[in-house]
Amino acid sequence: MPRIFSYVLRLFLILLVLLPGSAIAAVTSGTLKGTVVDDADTEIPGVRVTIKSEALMGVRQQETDAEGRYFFAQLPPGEYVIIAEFPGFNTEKRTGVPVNIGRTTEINISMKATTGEATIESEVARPVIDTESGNVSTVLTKDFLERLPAGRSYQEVVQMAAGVTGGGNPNVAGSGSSENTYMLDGVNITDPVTGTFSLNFNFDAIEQLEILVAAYDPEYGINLGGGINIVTASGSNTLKVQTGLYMENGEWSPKLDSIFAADGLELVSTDFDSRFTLYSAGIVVSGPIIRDKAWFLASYENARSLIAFSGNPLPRDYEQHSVFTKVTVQPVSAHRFSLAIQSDPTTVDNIFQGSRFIEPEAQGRQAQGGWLGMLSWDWFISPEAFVETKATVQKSFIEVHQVPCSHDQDLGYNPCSPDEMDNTIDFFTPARFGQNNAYDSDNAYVFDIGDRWRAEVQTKFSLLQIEALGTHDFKTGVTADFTSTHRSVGFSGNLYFVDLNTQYYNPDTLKNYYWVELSGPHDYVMNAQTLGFFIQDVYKPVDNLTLRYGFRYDRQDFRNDLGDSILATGLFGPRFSANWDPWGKGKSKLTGSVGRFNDTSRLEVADYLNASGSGFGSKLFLGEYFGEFTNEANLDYSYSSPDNTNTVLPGLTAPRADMFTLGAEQEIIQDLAVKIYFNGKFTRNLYALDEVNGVWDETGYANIGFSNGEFEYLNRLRTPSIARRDYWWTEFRLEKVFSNRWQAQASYTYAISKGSVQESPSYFLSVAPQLQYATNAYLGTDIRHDITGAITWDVPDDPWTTQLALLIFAESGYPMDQYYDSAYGAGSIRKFTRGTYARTEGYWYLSSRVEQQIPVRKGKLSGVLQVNNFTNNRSGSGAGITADNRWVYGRQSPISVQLGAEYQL
Amino acid sequence: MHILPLLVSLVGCAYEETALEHVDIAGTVKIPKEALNIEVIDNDDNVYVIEGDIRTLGPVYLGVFPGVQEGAYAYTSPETGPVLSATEDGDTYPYGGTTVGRMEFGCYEQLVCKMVTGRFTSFDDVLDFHANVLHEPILNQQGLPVGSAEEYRETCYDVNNYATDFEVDFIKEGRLDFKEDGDYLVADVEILHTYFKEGMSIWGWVDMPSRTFDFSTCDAGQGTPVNFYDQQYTRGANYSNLLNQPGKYIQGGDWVADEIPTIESADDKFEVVLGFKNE
Repeated sequence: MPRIFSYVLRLFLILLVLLPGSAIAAVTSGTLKGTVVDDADTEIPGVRVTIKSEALMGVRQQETDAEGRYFFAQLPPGEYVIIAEFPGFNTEKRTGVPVNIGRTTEINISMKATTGEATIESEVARPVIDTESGNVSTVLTKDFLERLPAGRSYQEVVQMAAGVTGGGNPNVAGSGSSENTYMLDGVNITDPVTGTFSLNFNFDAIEQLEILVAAYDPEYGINLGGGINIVTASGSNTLKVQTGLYMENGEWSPKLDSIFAADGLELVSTDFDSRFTLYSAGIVVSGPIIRDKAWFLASYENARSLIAFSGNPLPRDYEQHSVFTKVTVQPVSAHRFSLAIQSDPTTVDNIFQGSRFIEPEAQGRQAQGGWLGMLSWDWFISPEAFVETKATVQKSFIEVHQVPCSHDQDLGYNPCSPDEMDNTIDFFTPARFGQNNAYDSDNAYVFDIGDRWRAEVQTKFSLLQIEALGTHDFKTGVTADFTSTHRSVGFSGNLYFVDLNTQYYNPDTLKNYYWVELSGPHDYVMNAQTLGFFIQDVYKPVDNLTLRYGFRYDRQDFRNDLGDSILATGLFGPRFSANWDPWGKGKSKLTGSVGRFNDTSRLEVADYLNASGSGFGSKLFLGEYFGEFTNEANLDYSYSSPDNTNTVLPGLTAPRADMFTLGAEQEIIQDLAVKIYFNGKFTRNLYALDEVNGVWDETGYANIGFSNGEFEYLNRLRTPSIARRDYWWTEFRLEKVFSNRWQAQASYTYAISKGSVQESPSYFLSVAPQLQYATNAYLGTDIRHDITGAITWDVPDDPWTTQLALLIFAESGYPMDQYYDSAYGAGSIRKFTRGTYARTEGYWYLSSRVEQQIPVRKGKLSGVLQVNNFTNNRSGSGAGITADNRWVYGRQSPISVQLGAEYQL
Repeated sequence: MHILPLLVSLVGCAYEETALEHVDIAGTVKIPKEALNIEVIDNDDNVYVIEGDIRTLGPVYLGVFPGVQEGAYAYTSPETGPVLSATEDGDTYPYGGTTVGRMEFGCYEQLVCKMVTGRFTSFDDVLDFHANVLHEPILNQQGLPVGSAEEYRETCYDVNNYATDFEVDFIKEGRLDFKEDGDYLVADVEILHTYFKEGMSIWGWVDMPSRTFDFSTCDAGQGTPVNFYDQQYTRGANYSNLLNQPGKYIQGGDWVADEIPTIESADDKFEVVLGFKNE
């Protein structure tokens, strides 16, 4: 062992020197262990234990130790078979053994003495409690994912997990949507700029999905939010084909969506066109290249949706292509390599769905996507010692600009002039962008073209089952990544108009207008390096007690558009967890954990500190009522410099969250467990801005003076103590693993939140010190009561099996957060509460799915009927004020029907 | 397992900002009870004398200034920078400041720039004050007197998206700003995040209502818009340069600081007395 330590230490040192300096890693495998005993419950040493799985290349074999124990780590998730052989005993074969990511499955085997040769085969009782883990997480297997009546994207099914609310960019345990970490096969795929997800992924290529609400093992480098850990399939020794075609339509549903009367909560019908159509088709092909040596998986998915929010005249037109390929090679049993490539080019037309006053020619198109290359190497030095190394390069891009013109007017898009070619984008005609719902808004979109890069290397060394007053599983690792963004932002024609109404939102009172002339496209590059290190031990002093402890350190250094280091923070995150199985039977657990999690931040934060600021100098002109645009200014009113006036307080700490969990789990009947968790999460020192020049009233709502005599927005980035969030939640979970043809997962979460979440810098608060909390955010998690649940049931009669499934989301409560924004006029700060309009009324969302299998000569054919939101009871999100003073809400999830056909070979 | 105490101690670490140039200072502000004796006039030109009703007390503005001067006004005022125009006062360049009570929107258009926080205990208290003291009952959107506290509450919740009474800042049962202490009204004050210079002065004034119960520090044309049924108006907001050019806003009837403490250390407790009535 000392030689191994020496070798690995040298490897780490080399990496530390070579790498530019993230801190994100994840577990992508599971562990299988157990004890083999005889009739008299005496441990049998030397039993040959063999494990097999479709997910495993070859077989793994070992002999039980002196205490009769076997231990297999670093196993790809899937269903396994265990065979135990020993002379003088029947051969015992256990089937249906689940191995899940980040979990330890314990299967104890009792062997019977015999004089002959016989094999006794039985299906194991699937464990529903991992008695050794302190993490609060949910694992969704491929089989369960496919049965769920949910959307076909990982972002949608994430909401199945307890402690998760919100939409496609979820809030996990009270965190902001930009505070999560997304991982694909263990590597960080979080958008380096926004902190949200950076790629869409082929749904059928997902083997397991783990949603980490609290990951107390230091090897998980999750930030202030949760972790979404996608683990893909790798193929097998059998050629497999899975293909499906799905169509969903919600246009025939009663249109109770879209408008709330201003004076109340009543839903009233609308004449708006609520376009809601989705299509998707996908195929996954996997199989052997060389049996037990090389496997492949190739996947393609196409998804298109046409959805109109808020009565917008044109639907948001989304089309995505996702490609994922992976080759896994294991030339010898000690080394396994895999190479994966992913790409998801996407176009989204008519993205400006916030207002129905945007004319088609003023709409925006978003092109996004990118590619990802991953190389991983698993080196099995011995069954108890191995090194995992992963290297990734990812490029993603988002390009937002006007919809190119088209001569095909059936599309309803921006019409080309007779002399214009198709797909021309007019960056030159002076734009008119009506604010405050003004009607004149043509040719006005801001273009924002950005490339984002992430390069990451991580390596992790595991040394397991070390005997020292019990057993220890040591792990240590280092992760380094480099992120960069190259962005070009501008305004078409460099002009936009702002209406000056004498009455707010009332276009009939237009008296005058002014326009802002900006200095032109702003182009810049900025980057960051992050380095993370962890060390941890899983210590079992006795069989039924597991202590997990360790720490991680993450340090990040952001560099601005001049290459200067502008924000460098680092933080130690110690973590500890104790897990006790009081009766040692694997059916109970008492758990307690505490840990510190830090925020490795994102380029968006540092973006606020670029030397050139927004990059736009602006001149303000006053003009007359804009019936016709003349471009004649009658007064040059004011000028602002493009130089940045934002500063940063030196010596900032990284935002952090201290969290604790107390929990109890009990398998109450075979395969069904009840789990109760009480958690507290205290997030401190979030990024915020204070306006250093302002003098405020007692509550921080309004300015009463300015230190330098003028209102200048002299902002400074801070991590003040008032920028904080307290979040307490209690979870009740019911989990039934698949057996007797049914499976279920349900949770009820009661949460209390206070404080703020950090969002993009545009939502950063100019913090007035008088505020008890710096509250500035969309706090989607301030929902008090949250229920999620799904149940699936197979009606027998093979081969005509019918699968039934039901899913429910239900939420109620009211927002506690308050939102502060710059007010119009005197530079005061106004208080404005946020949350769903119908805040005192909960909503529920019920969906059902029927899959009918149809016997065919080869493979499996099935038809799918899914009815989403069949009670038509979910209000959507997204708000705006109409000219007639009514709140408009866009329905996101109308009642809809999905028809699908699936085939598996 | 010796690592445990270390882990626990690390978890307990708290971050404090050390590079802030600001300090927090604390003290009290005193106003003679005599300030509560005012005269108001209703829409029918009836004149009423109000004596000793703390609900008439306007917002108190306190600033931290480099120094004070005599002679520029009838009262002691902050030192100013250069006077650049004959019609504009010089700027005081305040280091910091705060208020005791502040202008708040009272949920009805009639109450724009007439509501000060920290003065009322309940919706009933507000209704009583306007109906029985000012003799100007609060009128609802239909032009009818607001009939009950419940009607008032419902309107407030609607127009401001409130969910609880806790969010209604002008109702502070048991949390009024001032307490009586002999011949004075006394309030504790914290001035947070002020720049600190040795010898800086704490100066301020209380904006007392005019005879029509208006406050000179509040601009009814500012503040966020209200769109409520067919009504459109603004909520009112204080002027943002009150401490920079206080002379523009101090009117007859306002009480101004005449005992002006200086601060030598951030730990000094100050007491500022607004004992001079500006006529």
